[in-house]
Amino acid sequence: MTLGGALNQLVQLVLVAAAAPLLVGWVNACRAWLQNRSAPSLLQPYRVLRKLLHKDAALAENASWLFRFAPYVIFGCMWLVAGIVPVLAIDLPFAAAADVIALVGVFAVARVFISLAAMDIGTSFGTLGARREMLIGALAEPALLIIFFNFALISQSTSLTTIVETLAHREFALYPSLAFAAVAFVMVLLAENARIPVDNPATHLELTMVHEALILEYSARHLALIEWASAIKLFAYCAIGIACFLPWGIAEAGDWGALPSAIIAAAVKLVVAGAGLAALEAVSAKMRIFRVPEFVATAFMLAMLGLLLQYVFEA
Amino acid sequence: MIDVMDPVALSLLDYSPATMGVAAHWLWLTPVAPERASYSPVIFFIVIVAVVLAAFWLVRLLYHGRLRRTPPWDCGFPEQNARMQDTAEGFAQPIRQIFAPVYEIESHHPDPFDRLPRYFTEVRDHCWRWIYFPIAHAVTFCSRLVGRIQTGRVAIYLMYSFVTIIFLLAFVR
Repeated sequence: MTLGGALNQLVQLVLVAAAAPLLVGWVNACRAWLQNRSAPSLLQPYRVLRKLLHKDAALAENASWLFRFAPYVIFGCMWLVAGIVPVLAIDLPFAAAADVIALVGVFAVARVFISLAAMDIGTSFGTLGARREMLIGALAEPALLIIFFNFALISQSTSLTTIVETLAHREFALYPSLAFAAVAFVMVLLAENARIPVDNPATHLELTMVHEALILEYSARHLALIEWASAIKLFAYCAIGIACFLPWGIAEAGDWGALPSAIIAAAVKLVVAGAGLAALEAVSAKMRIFRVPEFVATAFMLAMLGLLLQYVFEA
Repeated sequence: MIDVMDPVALSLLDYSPATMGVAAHWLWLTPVAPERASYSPVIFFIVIVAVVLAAFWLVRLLYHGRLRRTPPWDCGFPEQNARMQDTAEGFAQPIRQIFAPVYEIESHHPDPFDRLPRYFTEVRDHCWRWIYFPIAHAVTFCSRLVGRIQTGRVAIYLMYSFVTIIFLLAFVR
């Protein structure tokens, strides 16, 4: 492990945690503009977090230690994911400890904990949310793995840093299979981050809510951690998408001179991704819960098609 | 651990993982080469625990730990009891509904006014019905046919072997 690598790892961990609410603020602002509303400040998510962290936590009488402990685990898992995905530079010493399969596993750990915590109170809201979350997760996870296998096939590696290195810093090649994978990835991103066609983050209606039902019993600092974790999750997903599909601009290992341009490239790409996400949400409507499996299954099929295409072209 | 599992891998693959650089360090699981795939469960676990503890400690350090116990949100209906809680049955229901074409599901739902409600669901696998059961039935049928000539008397068994020998002598030269 080099000193530069360790420093880059640390910078990235802090940067992702700090910038994630800004991305959420940007997406919310874009959404408001597209809906002809006046947008809240970009810093609104930070204010919400600050408010929540200062409030007194109201905990249900029958909540166990698991309920209090889960937000920290979820936050930790998401923070860890943010440490594996190359955002600015490839040189991430910790990324070698976990490849994309472990990354999907970390998402699963967070999902299990949030579902267990939701069921801990025993009200029907929590279990309803947990059940739906598990339903979506169980279907989105294989799709995400197949998308990653597309890249594994191209770069002969399941490590994210090697994938980015292969795609960005070797000779340029067009991979038609990645077009399928990209569409599938966007669909999985929408499903996993509780965005509009699958779940509406702004609703509190029993019939439709998934993520909000899960965290209904949480308040104050616990809620702040979960909100922050979901902001980091969105950021991480966008960063994975950028790293895999548009990796140009991410600095190579040890190349400190490229870092300023890498920061600008990452910022521009995230701004575009956030605006695109808001536009996608503005033009689509929330679907019924039993239409969601079809949506995610489509993503799975597209990713599978990409994989087959890759096999055909390789042969 | 890898050395213990090595014969299994060797019998399935043409090469042994232990000789392919896995033994580089016991902490790392590297099937082929470090740049292709590597996974270090120990480091990974330690980092997860460290990050979780760091989050916990930071929140504790920067903010107060005030806590208030309140009744859980009951949606305006306070008389909830444990029987209204979700069950494993209900939890798995969406998944079952999605994969309903794959399985054979038979369920009986009680009437809401039933005094003694009984809920019954049986999930069967199509494979059992269309593949395994026919094979099992065929095997049982055949063994029953064979069982018919097994009378349990030594004289009859001796006659079987005698007939077989005659048969072999007549047809096999």
